Amino acid sequence: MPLLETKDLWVNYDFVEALKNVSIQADEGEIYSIIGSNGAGKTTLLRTISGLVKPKSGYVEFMGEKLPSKPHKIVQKGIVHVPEGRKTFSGLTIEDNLLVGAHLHKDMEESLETQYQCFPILRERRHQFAGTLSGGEQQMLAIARGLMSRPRIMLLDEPSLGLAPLIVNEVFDLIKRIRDMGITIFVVEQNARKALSICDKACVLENGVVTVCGTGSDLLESDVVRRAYLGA
Amino acid sequence: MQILQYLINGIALGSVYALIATGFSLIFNVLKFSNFSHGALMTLSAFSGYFIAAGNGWGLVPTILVSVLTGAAVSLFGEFVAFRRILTHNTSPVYFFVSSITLGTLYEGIVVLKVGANFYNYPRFFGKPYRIAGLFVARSDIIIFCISAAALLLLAYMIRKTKTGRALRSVSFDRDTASLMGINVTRTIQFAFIVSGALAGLAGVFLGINYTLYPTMGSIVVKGFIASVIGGLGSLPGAIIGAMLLGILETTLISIIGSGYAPVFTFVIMLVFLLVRPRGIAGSNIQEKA
Repeated sequence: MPLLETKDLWVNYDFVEALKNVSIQADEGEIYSIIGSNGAGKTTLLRTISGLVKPKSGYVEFMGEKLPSKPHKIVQKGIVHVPEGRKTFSGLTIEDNLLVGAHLHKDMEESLETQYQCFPILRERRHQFAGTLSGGEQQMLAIARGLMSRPRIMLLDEPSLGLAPLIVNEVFDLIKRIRDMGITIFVVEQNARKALSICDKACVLENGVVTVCGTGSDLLESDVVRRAYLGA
Repeated sequence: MQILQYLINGIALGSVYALIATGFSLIFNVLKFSNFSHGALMTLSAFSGYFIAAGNGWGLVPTILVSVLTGAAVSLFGEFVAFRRILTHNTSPVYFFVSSITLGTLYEGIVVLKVGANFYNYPRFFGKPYRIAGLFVARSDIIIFCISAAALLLLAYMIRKTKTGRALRSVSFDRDTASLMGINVTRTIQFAFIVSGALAGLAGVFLGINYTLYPTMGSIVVKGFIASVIGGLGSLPGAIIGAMLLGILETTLISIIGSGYAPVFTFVIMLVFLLVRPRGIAGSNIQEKA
Protein backbone atom coordinates (compact mmCIF):
# COMPACT_ATOMS: atom_id res chain seq x y z
CA MET A 1 0.00 0.00 0.00
CA PRO A 2 1.41 3.43 -0.88
CA LEU A 3 1.90 5.84 2.02
CA LEU A 4 0.32 8.76 0.23
CA GLU A 5 -1.99 8.55 -2.72
CA THR A 6 -4.02 11.14 -4.57
CA LYS A 7 -7.07 9.79 -6.32
CA ASP A 8 -8.41 11.59 -9.40
CA LEU A 9 -7.86 15.05 -7.99
CA TRP A 10 -9.61 17.89 -9.78
CA VAL A 11 -9.02 21.40 -8.52
CA ASN A 12 -10.52 24.60 -9.87
CA TYR A 13 -9.71 28.23 -9.16
CA ASP A 14 -12.90 29.96 -10.25
CA PHE A 15 -13.07 28.92 -13.89
CA VAL A 16 -9.47 27.84 -14.32
CA GLU A 17 -8.73 24.16 -13.91
CA ALA A 18 -5.51 23.85 -11.94
CA LEU A 19 -5.36 20.07 -11.55
CA LYS A 20 -7.02 17.59 -13.84
CA ASN A 21 -7.41 14.04 -12.74
CA VAL A 22 -4.14 13.81 -10.84
CA SER A 23 -3.44 10.37 -9.38
CA ILE A 24 -0.01 9.72 -7.93
CA GLN A 25 1.40 7.38 -5.32
CA ALA A 26 4.34 7.88 -2.99
CA ASP A 27 5.81 5.03 -0.96
CA GLU A 28 7.21 5.17 2.53
CA GLY A 29 10.80 6.34 2.85
CA GLU A 30 11.26 7.70 -0.65
CA ILE A 31 11.81 11.10 -2.12
CA TYR A 32 9.05 11.79 -4.60
CA SER A 33 9.49 14.85 -6.75
CA ILE A 34 7.10 16.74 -8.95
CA ILE A 35 8.65 18.81 -11.68
CA GLY A 36 7.05 21.16 -14.15
CA SER A 37 7.08 24.74 -15.31
CA ASN A 38 5.45 27.79 -13.75
CA GLY A 39 1.71 27.46 -13.40
CA ALA A 40 1.70 23.72 -14.03
CA GLY A 41 -0.18 23.14 -10.76
CA LYS A 42 2.68 21.91 -8.58
CA THR A 43 1.99 24.22 -5.67
CA THR A 44 -1.75 23.59 -6.00
CA LEU A 45 -1.10 19.88 -5.66
CA LEU A 46 0.79 20.39 -2.38
CA ARG A 47 -1.81 22.84 -1.09
CA THR A 48 -4.52 20.31 -1.86
CA ILE A 49 -2.71 17.57 0.02
CA SER A 50 -2.20 19.78 3.07
CA GLY A 51 -5.80 20.96 3.04
CA LEU A 52 -5.31 24.63 2.14
CA VAL A 53 -7.17 24.08 -1.13
CA LYS A 54 -10.31 22.00 -1.43
CA PRO A 55 -10.51 19.71 -4.45
CA LYS A 56 -13.61 19.85 -6.63
CA SER A 57 -13.54 16.09 -6.77
CA GLY A 58 -11.20 13.29 -5.84
CA TYR A 59 -9.38 12.92 -2.54
CA VAL A 60 -6.10 12.16 -0.84
CA GLU A 61 -5.40 8.95 1.03
CA PHE A 62 -2.77 8.57 3.71
CA MET A 63 -1.99 4.99 4.79
CA GLY A 64 -5.17 3.86 3.08
CA GLU A 65 -7.33 6.37 4.93
CA LYS A 66 -9.00 9.45 3.54
CA LEU A 67 -7.45 12.62 4.97
CA PRO A 68 -9.53 15.03 7.05
CA SER A 69 -10.32 18.37 5.41
CA LYS A 70 -8.88 20.95 7.82
CA PRO A 71 -5.15 21.70 7.56
CA HIS A 72 -4.51 21.45 11.30
CA LYS A 73 -6.12 18.01 11.37
CA ILE A 74 -3.92 16.88 8.49
CA VAL A 75 -0.78 17.95 10.37
CA GLN A 76 -2.00 15.84 13.25
CA LYS A 77 -1.99 12.81 10.93
CA GLY A 78 1.70 13.33 10.24
CA ILE A 79 1.83 15.36 7.05
CA VAL A 80 3.66 18.66 7.26
CA HIS A 81 3.84 21.23 4.49
CA VAL A 82 6.81 23.60 4.21
CA PRO A 83 5.31 26.29 1.98
CA GLU A 84 6.79 28.07 -0.99
CA GLY A 85 8.74 31.18 -0.06
CA ARG A 86 9.52 29.65 3.36
CA LYS A 87 6.85 31.73 5.17
CA THR A 88 8.70 31.86 8.46
CA PHE A 89 6.97 34.09 11.01
CA SER A 90 9.27 37.07 10.52
CA GLY A 91 8.32 38.92 13.70
CA LEU A 92 8.65 35.88 15.94
CA THR A 93 12.02 34.78 17.28
CA ILE A 94 13.65 31.73 15.77
CA GLU A 95 12.91 29.77 18.92
CA ASP A 96 9.24 30.78 18.83
CA ASN A 97 9.05 29.78 15.16
CA LEU A 98 10.31 26.33 16.07
CA LEU A 99 7.97 26.06 19.05
CA VAL A 100 5.00 26.99 16.87
CA GLY A 101 6.03 24.07 14.68
CA ALA A 102 5.62 21.77 17.66
CA HIS A 103 2.19 23.14 18.48
CA LEU A 104 0.62 19.69 18.61
CA HIS A 105 3.17 18.18 20.96
CA LYS A 106 3.71 18.38 24.68
CA ASP A 107 7.45 17.76 25.09
CA MET A 108 8.65 20.65 22.96
CA GLU A 109 12.02 21.01 24.67
CA GLU A 110 13.21 17.66 23.41
CA SER A 111 12.29 18.38 19.79
CA LEU A 112 13.87 21.80 20.14
CA GLU A 113 17.13 20.25 21.29
CA THR A 114 17.10 17.82 18.36
CA GLN A 115 16.66 20.63 15.85
CA TYR A 116 19.33 22.78 17.50
CA GLN A 117 21.76 19.89 17.24
CA CYS A 118 20.88 19.50 13.59
CA PHE A 119 21.06 23.25 12.88
CA PRO A 120 23.60 24.89 15.22
CA ILE A 121 23.14 28.25 13.49
CA LEU A 122 19.54 28.34 14.71
CA ARG A 123 20.64 27.82 18.30
CA GLU A 124 23.13 30.65 17.98
CA ARG A 125 20.44 33.00 16.78
CA ARG A 126 17.48 31.67 18.68
CA HIS A 127 16.50 35.03 20.16
CA GLN A 128 16.68 36.92 16.88
CA PHE A 129 13.64 37.63 14.77
CA ALA A 130 13.28 35.14 11.94
CA GLY A 131 13.04 38.04 9.50
CA THR A 132 16.71 38.85 10.11
CA LEU A 133 17.96 35.51 8.73
CA SER A 134 19.32 35.12 5.22
CA GLY A 135 17.29 33.27 2.61
CA GLY A 136 19.18 30.02 3.07
CA GLU A 137 18.92 30.21 6.86
CA GLN A 138 15.20 30.92 6.59
CA GLN A 139 14.81 27.81 4.44
CA MET A 140 16.64 25.79 7.09
CA LEU A 141 14.38 27.31 9.74
CA ALA A 142 11.26 26.51 7.72
CA ILE A 143 12.37 22.89 7.35
CA ALA A 144 13.38 22.61 11.02
CA ARG A 145 10.02 24.11 11.99
CA GLY A 146 8.33 21.47 9.87
CA LEU A 147 10.36 18.71 11.53
CA MET A 148 9.21 19.94 14.94
CA SER A 149 5.81 18.40 14.24
CA ARG A 150 7.49 14.99 13.88
CA PRO A 151 5.97 14.21 10.50
CA ARG A 152 5.77 10.99 8.54
CA ILE A 153 5.70 12.95 5.31
CA MET A 154 7.17 16.34 4.55
CA LEU A 155 5.83 18.33 1.61
CA LEU A 156 8.45 20.75 0.35
CA ASP A 157 7.49 23.52 -2.05
CA GLU A 158 10.37 24.95 -4.08
CA PRO A 159 12.99 24.63 -1.35
CA SER A 160 15.73 25.98 -3.63
CA LEU A 161 13.84 29.07 -4.75
CA GLY A 162 16.01 32.18 -4.71
CA LEU A 163 19.00 30.53 -3.08
CA ALA A 164 22.66 30.67 -4.16
CA PRO A 165 23.91 27.48 -5.89
CA LEU A 166 26.08 26.48 -2.93
CA ILE A 167 23.13 26.80 -0.56
CA VAL A 168 20.93 24.88 -2.99
CA ASN A 169 23.31 21.94 -2.66
CA GLU A 170 23.13 22.20 1.12
CA VAL A 171 19.34 22.17 1.04
CA PHE A 172 19.27 19.08 -1.19
CA ASP A 173 21.78 17.31 1.08
CA LEU A 174 19.50 18.12 3.95
CA ILE A 175 16.52 16.67 2.10
CA LYS A 176 18.43 13.41 1.65
CA ARG A 177 19.32 13.38 5.34
CA ILE A 178 15.67 13.82 6.27
CA ARG A 179 14.73 10.93 4.00
CA ASP A 180 17.38 8.82 5.74
CA MET A 181 15.68 9.64 9.04
CA GLY A 182 12.70 7.71 7.66
CA ILE A 183 10.58 10.68 6.67
CA THR A 184 9.00 10.48 3.24
CA ILE A 185 9.66 13.57 1.16
CA PHE A 186 7.34 15.02 -1.40
CA VAL A 187 9.16 17.81 -3.19
CA VAL A 188 8.02 20.24 -5.85
CA GLU A 189 10.82 21.87 -7.80
CA GLN A 190 11.57 24.01 -10.80
CA ASN A 191 15.19 23.02 -10.55
CA ALA A 192 14.40 19.78 -12.37
CA ARG A 193 17.92 18.46 -12.75
CA LYS A 194 18.64 18.75 -9.05
CA ALA A 195 15.31 17.31 -8.02
CA LEU A 196 15.56 14.35 -10.39
CA SER A 197 19.08 13.53 -9.31
CA ILE A 198 18.14 13.05 -5.65
CA CYS A 199 14.67 11.57 -5.93
CA ASP A 200 13.56 7.97 -6.01
CA LYS A 201 10.46 8.60 -8.04
CA ALA A 202 9.20 11.58 -9.96
CA CYS A 203 6.48 12.76 -12.22
CA VAL A 204 6.02 15.67 -14.58
CA LEU A 205 3.06 17.98 -14.23
CA GLU A 206 2.00 19.93 -17.31
CA ASN A 207 -0.98 22.28 -17.27
CA GLY A 208 -2.50 20.35 -14.40
CA VAL A 209 -2.04 16.93 -15.95
CA VAL A 210 0.51 14.28 -14.99
CA THR A 211 2.29 13.46 -18.24
CA VAL A 212 5.24 11.24 -17.32
CA CYS A 213 6.05 9.24 -14.22
CA GLY A 214 9.04 7.09 -13.40
CA THR A 215 12.18 6.80 -11.34
CA GLY A 216 14.42 9.83 -11.09
CA SER A 217 17.09 8.35 -13.32
CA ASP A 218 14.54 7.26 -15.94
CA LEU A 219 13.25 10.79 -16.19
CA LEU A 220 16.74 12.29 -16.29
CA GLU A 221 17.40 10.18 -19.38
CA SER A 222 14.00 10.57 -21.00
CA ASP A 223 14.17 12.64 -24.18
CA VAL A 224 10.90 14.44 -23.54
CA VAL A 225 11.96 15.56 -20.09
CA ARG A 226 15.46 16.50 -21.21
CA ARG A 227 14.14 18.73 -23.97
CA ALA A 228 11.42 20.40 -21.95
CA TYR A 229 12.92 20.78 -18.49
CA LEU A 230 16.64 20.15 -18.53
CA GLY A 231 17.47 22.28 -21.55
CA ALA A 232 19.41 19.57 -23.32
CA MET B 1 2.12 69.20 43.94
CA GLN B 2 -0.61 70.02 41.47
CA ILE B 3 1.28 68.08 38.82
CA LEU B 4 1.33 65.02 41.07
CA GLN B 5 -2.42 65.27 41.52
CA TYR B 6 -2.92 65.35 37.72
CA LEU B 7 -0.66 62.36 37.44
CA ILE B 8 -2.68 60.38 39.96
CA ASN B 9 -5.99 61.24 38.33
CA GLY B 10 -4.54 60.52 34.92
CA ILE B 11 -3.23 57.09 35.75
CA ALA B 12 -6.67 55.66 36.51
CA LEU B 13 -8.15 57.16 33.36
CA GLY B 14 -5.14 55.94 31.43
CA SER B 15 -5.56 52.40 32.68
CA VAL B 16 -9.15 52.35 31.40
CA TYR B 17 -7.94 53.66 28.05
CA ALA B 18 -5.30 50.92 28.14
CA LEU B 19 -7.97 48.26 28.54
CA ILE B 20 -9.86 49.70 25.57
CA ALA B 21 -6.77 50.09 23.44
CA THR B 22 -5.43 46.59 24.08
CA GLY B 23 -8.79 44.94 23.41
CA PHE B 24 -8.99 46.88 20.19
CA SER B 25 -5.35 46.20 19.22
CA LEU B 26 -5.73 42.50 19.84
CA ILE B 27 -8.32 42.17 17.07
CA PHE B 28 -6.41 44.59 14.87
CA ASN B 29 -3.35 42.38 15.25
CA VAL B 30 -5.07 39.15 14.43
CA LEU B 31 -7.41 40.21 11.63
CA LYS B 32 -5.83 43.51 10.48
CA PHE B 33 -8.97 45.56 10.75
CA SER B 34 -10.29 48.15 13.18
CA ASN B 35 -13.12 46.64 15.15
CA PHE B 36 -15.56 49.53 15.38
CA SER B 37 -18.03 47.46 17.38
CA HIS B 38 -15.64 47.50 20.35
CA GLY B 39 -17.14 50.63 21.91
CA ALA B 40 -20.74 49.46 21.64
CA LEU B 41 -19.72 46.10 23.06
CA MET B 42 -18.32 47.99 26.03
CA THR B 43 -21.64 49.81 26.49
CA LEU B 44 -23.66 46.63 26.21
CA SER B 45 -21.48 44.82 28.78
CA ALA B 46 -21.51 47.73 31.21
CA PHE B 47 -25.31 47.91 31.05
CA SER B 48 -25.72 44.18 31.52
CA GLY B 49 -23.51 44.53 34.59
CA TYR B 50 -25.91 47.19 35.77
CA PHE B 51 -29.15 45.34 35.09
CA ILE B 52 -28.09 41.88 36.16
CA ALA B 53 -25.84 42.69 39.10
CA ALA B 54 -25.41 46.23 40.40
CA GLY B 55 -29.06 47.18 39.92
CA ASN B 56 -30.11 44.22 42.05
CA GLY B 57 -27.91 45.30 44.90
CA TRP B 58 -25.02 42.99 44.13
CA GLY B 59 -21.56 44.30 44.86
CA LEU B 60 -18.62 45.34 42.76
CA VAL B 61 -17.15 41.91 42.11
CA PRO B 62 -20.34 40.33 40.71
CA THR B 63 -20.90 43.42 38.57
CA ILE B 64 -17.42 43.13 37.11
CA LEU B 65 -17.86 39.40 36.53
CA VAL B 66 -21.21 39.80 34.78
CA SER B 67 -19.86 42.55 32.51
CA VAL B 68 -16.70 40.65 31.67
CA LEU B 69 -18.58 37.46 30.90
CA THR B 70 -21.16 39.32 28.81
CA GLY B 71 -18.39 41.07 26.90
CA ALA B 72 -16.63 37.79 26.20
CA ALA B 73 -19.81 35.95 25.18
CA VAL B 74 -21.19 38.71 22.96
CA SER B 75 -17.79 39.17 21.33
CA LEU B 76 -17.66 35.47 20.52
CA PHE B 77 -21.16 35.69 19.07
CA GLY B 78 -20.11 38.75 17.02
CA GLU B 79 -17.14 36.89 15.57
CA PHE B 80 -19.45 34.14 14.39
CA VAL B 81 -22.23 36.24 12.85
CA ALA B 82 -20.24 39.17 11.49
CA PHE B 83 -16.71 38.04 10.70
CA ARG B 84 -16.46 34.27 10.26
CA ARG B 85 -17.77 34.07 6.70
CA ILE B 86 -15.71 37.02 5.55
CA LEU B 87 -12.68 35.28 6.97
CA THR B 88 -13.22 31.85 5.48
CA HIS B 89 -13.94 33.27 2.06
CA ASN B 90 -10.90 35.51 2.10
CA THR B 91 -13.02 38.46 1.00
CA SER B 92 -11.69 42.00 1.01
CA PRO B 93 -10.90 43.39 4.50
CA VAL B 94 -13.18 46.34 3.77
CA TYR B 95 -16.11 44.05 4.61
CA PHE B 96 -14.74 43.57 8.12
CA PHE B 97 -14.94 47.31 8.51
CA VAL B 98 -18.54 47.52 7.29
CA SER B 99 -19.50 44.47 9.31
CA SER B 100 -18.02 45.82 12.54
CA ILE B 101 -19.81 49.17 12.18
CA THR B 102 -23.10 47.36 11.57
CA LEU B 103 -22.53 45.11 14.56
CA GLY B 104 -21.72 48.13 16.76
CA THR B 105 -24.94 49.85 15.67
CA LEU B 106 -26.86 46.70 16.54
CA TYR B 107 -25.39 46.51 20.05
CA GLU B 108 -26.08 50.15 20.66
CA GLY B 109 -29.61 49.71 19.34
CA ILE B 110 -30.24 46.90 21.80
CA VAL B 111 -29.12 49.13 24.67
CA VAL B 112 -31.30 52.01 23.50
CA LEU B 113 -34.32 49.69 23.28
CA LYS B 114 -33.87 48.82 26.93
CA VAL B 115 -32.87 52.15 28.47
CA GLY B 116 -34.01 54.84 26.04
CA ALA B 117 -31.85 57.93 26.27
CA ASN B 118 -31.56 57.82 30.05
CA PHE B 119 -28.43 58.05 32.10
CA TYR B 120 -27.78 55.42 34.72
CA ASN B 121 -25.37 55.32 37.61
CA TYR B 122 -23.80 52.36 39.30
CA PRO B 123 -24.40 52.48 43.05
CA ARG B 124 -21.50 53.93 45.01
CA PHE B 125 -19.15 51.02 45.52
CA PHE B 126 -16.52 53.06 47.31
CA GLY B 127 -16.14 55.32 50.29
CA LYS B 128 -14.43 58.70 50.53
CA PRO B 129 -11.11 59.26 48.79
CA TYR B 130 -7.90 58.84 50.73
CA ARG B 131 -5.92 61.93 51.56
CA ILE B 132 -2.23 61.22 51.40
CA ALA B 133 0.24 64.05 51.95
CA GLY B 134 -2.16 66.64 50.62
CA LEU B 135 -3.16 64.58 47.59
CA PHE B 136 -6.58 63.12 46.96
CA VAL B 137 -6.60 59.52 45.84
CA ALA B 138 -10.00 58.08 45.02
CA ARG B 139 -10.50 54.52 46.21
CA SER B 140 -12.13 53.67 42.89
CA ASP B 141 -9.02 54.88 41.08
CA ILE B 142 -6.81 52.56 43.11
CA ILE B 143 -9.06 49.56 42.44
CA ILE B 144 -9.36 50.44 38.76
CA PHE B 145 -5.63 50.79 38.40
CA CYS B 146 -4.84 47.54 40.24
CA ILE B 147 -7.38 45.41 38.39
CA SER B 148 -6.43 46.88 35.01
CA ALA B 149 -2.75 46.35 35.68
CA ALA B 150 -3.39 42.77 36.76
CA ALA B 151 -5.49 42.07 33.66
CA LEU B 152 -2.89 43.56 31.34
CA LEU B 153 0.00 41.73 32.99
CA LEU B 154 -1.91 38.49 32.67
CA LEU B 155 -2.55 39.24 29.00
CA ALA B 156 1.12 40.06 28.39
CA TYR B 157 2.20 36.83 30.07
CA MET B 158 -0.31 34.83 28.06
CA ILE B 159 0.79 36.32 24.76
CA ARG B 160 4.52 36.10 25.37
CA LYS B 161 4.95 32.89 27.30
CA THR B 162 2.17 30.44 26.61
CA LYS B 163 1.44 28.09 23.76
CA THR B 164 -1.87 29.83 23.10
CA GLY B 165 -0.07 33.16 22.95
CA ARG B 166 2.43 31.82 20.46
CA ALA B 167 -0.39 30.45 18.36
CA LEU B 168 -2.08 33.85 18.48
CA ARG B 169 1.08 35.61 17.36
CA SER B 170 1.67 33.20 14.49
CA VAL B 171 -1.95 33.50 13.36
CA SER B 172 -1.50 37.30 13.33
CA PHE B 173 1.43 36.91 10.98
CA ASP B 174 0.08 34.37 8.55
CA ARG B 175 -3.12 32.39 9.02
CA ASP B 176 -2.45 29.81 6.31
CA THR B 177 1.05 28.99 7.50
CA ALA B 178 -0.15 28.84 11.11
CA SER B 179 -2.73 26.25 10.10
CA LEU B 180 0.07 24.24 8.45
CA MET B 181 1.74 24.09 11.87
CA GLY B 182 -1.29 22.33 13.32
CA ILE B 183 -2.87 25.43 14.81
CA ASN B 184 -6.66 25.57 14.76
CA VAL B 185 -6.98 29.06 13.31
CA THR B 186 -10.71 29.40 13.95
CA ARG B 187 -10.32 28.52 17.63
CA THR B 188 -7.41 30.92 17.97
CA ILE B 189 -9.39 33.79 16.46
CA GLN B 190 -12.35 32.95 18.70
CA PHE B 191 -10.00 33.09 21.65
CA ALA B 192 -8.79 36.55 20.60
CA PHE B 193 -12.39 37.75 20.43
CA ILE B 194 -13.19 36.33 23.86
CA VAL B 195 -10.21 38.10 25.43
CA SER B 196 -10.95 41.32 23.58
CA GLY B 197 -14.61 41.18 24.68
CA ALA B 198 -13.65 40.51 28.29
CA LEU B 199 -11.37 43.56 28.23
CA ALA B 200 -14.23 45.62 26.76
CA GLY B 201 -16.50 44.45 29.60
CA LEU B 202 -13.95 45.42 32.22
CA ALA B 203 -13.38 48.82 30.63
CA GLY B 204 -17.15 49.35 30.46
CA VAL B 205 -17.63 48.79 34.19
CA PHE B 206 -14.76 51.11 35.06
CA LEU B 207 -16.09 53.86 32.82
CA GLY B 208 -19.49 53.40 34.42
CA ILE B 209 -17.97 53.70 37.89
CA ASN B 210 -16.02 56.86 37.10
CA TYR B 211 -18.67 58.54 34.94
CA THR B 212 -22.17 57.46 34.09
CA LEU B 213 -23.79 54.81 31.96
CA TYR B 214 -25.46 56.04 28.79
CA PRO B 215 -26.17 54.37 25.44
CA THR B 216 -23.52 56.24 23.47
CA MET B 217 -20.75 55.93 26.07
CA GLY B 218 -19.05 53.58 23.61
CA SER B 219 -17.89 56.59 21.62
CA ILE B 220 -15.11 56.92 24.19
CA VAL B 221 -13.48 54.06 22.27
CA VAL B 222 -12.07 56.81 20.06
CA LYS B 223 -9.67 57.49 22.92
CA GLY B 224 -8.59 53.88 22.66
CA PHE B 225 -7.91 54.38 18.94
CA ILE B 226 -5.89 57.51 19.68
CA ALA B 227 -3.93 55.66 22.33
CA SER B 228 -3.18 52.85 19.87
CA VAL B 229 -2.03 55.31 17.24
CA ILE B 230 0.21 57.19 19.66
CA GLY B 231 1.59 53.93 21.01
CA GLY B 232 1.94 52.21 17.66
CA LEU B 233 -1.00 50.47 16.03
CA GLY B 234 -0.89 46.74 16.61
CA SER B 235 1.65 46.88 19.41
CA LEU B 236 0.17 45.91 22.78
CA PRO B 237 2.88 47.47 24.97
CA GLY B 238 2.61 50.54 22.72
CA ALA B 239 -1.13 50.70 23.28
CA ILE B 240 -0.60 50.65 27.05
CA ILE B 241 2.07 53.35 26.96
CA GLY B 242 -0.06 55.46 24.61
CA ALA B 243 -3.12 55.05 26.83
CA MET B 244 -1.28 56.10 29.99
CA LEU B 245 0.19 59.14 28.27
CA LEU B 246 -3.21 60.07 26.89
CA GLY B 247 -4.90 59.66 30.28
CA ILE B 248 -2.39 61.83 32.09
CA LEU B 249 -2.31 64.40 29.32
CA GLU B 250 -6.06 64.65 29.21
CA THR B 251 -6.60 65.14 32.93
CA THR B 252 -3.83 67.73 32.96
CA LEU B 253 -5.26 69.57 29.95
CA ILE B 254 -8.77 69.53 31.41
CA SER B 255 -7.49 71.13 34.60
CA ILE B 256 -5.48 73.76 32.73
CA ILE B 257 -7.60 74.73 29.74
CA GLY B 258 -10.97 73.19 30.65
CA SER B 259 -12.89 70.24 29.31
CA GLY B 260 -14.11 72.17 26.26
CA TYR B 261 -10.74 72.58 24.63
CA ALA B 262 -8.98 69.48 25.95
CA PRO B 263 -10.30 67.07 23.29
CA VAL B 264 -9.10 69.43 20.58
CA PHE B 265 -5.60 69.17 21.93
CA THR B 266 -5.66 65.40 22.20
CA PHE B 267 -6.63 65.17 18.53
CA VAL B 268 -3.93 67.66 17.63
CA ILE B 269 -1.42 65.49 19.45
CA MET B 270 -2.59 62.43 17.53
CA LEU B 271 -2.24 64.32 14.25
CA VAL B 272 1.25 65.40 15.22
CA PHE B 273 2.13 61.77 15.87
CA LEU B 274 0.70 60.70 12.53
CA LEU B 275 2.74 63.40 10.85
CA VAL B 276 6.03 62.97 12.68
CA ARG B 277 6.08 59.34 13.75
CA PRO B 278 3.23 57.46 12.10
CA ARG B 279 4.31 54.10 13.49
CA GLY B 280 3.84 55.44 17.04
CA ILE B 281 6.10 55.16 20.06
CA ALA B 282 6.64 51.42 20.12
CA GLY B 283 5.70 50.57 16.55
CA SER B 284 8.43 48.86 14.64
CA ASN B 285 8.86 47.71 11.11
CA ILE B 286 10.14 44.21 10.85
CA GLN B 287 11.29 43.81 7.33
CA GLU B 288 11.60 40.50 5.70
CA LYS B 289 14.86 39.80 3.97
CA ALA B 290 14.17 38.46 0.52
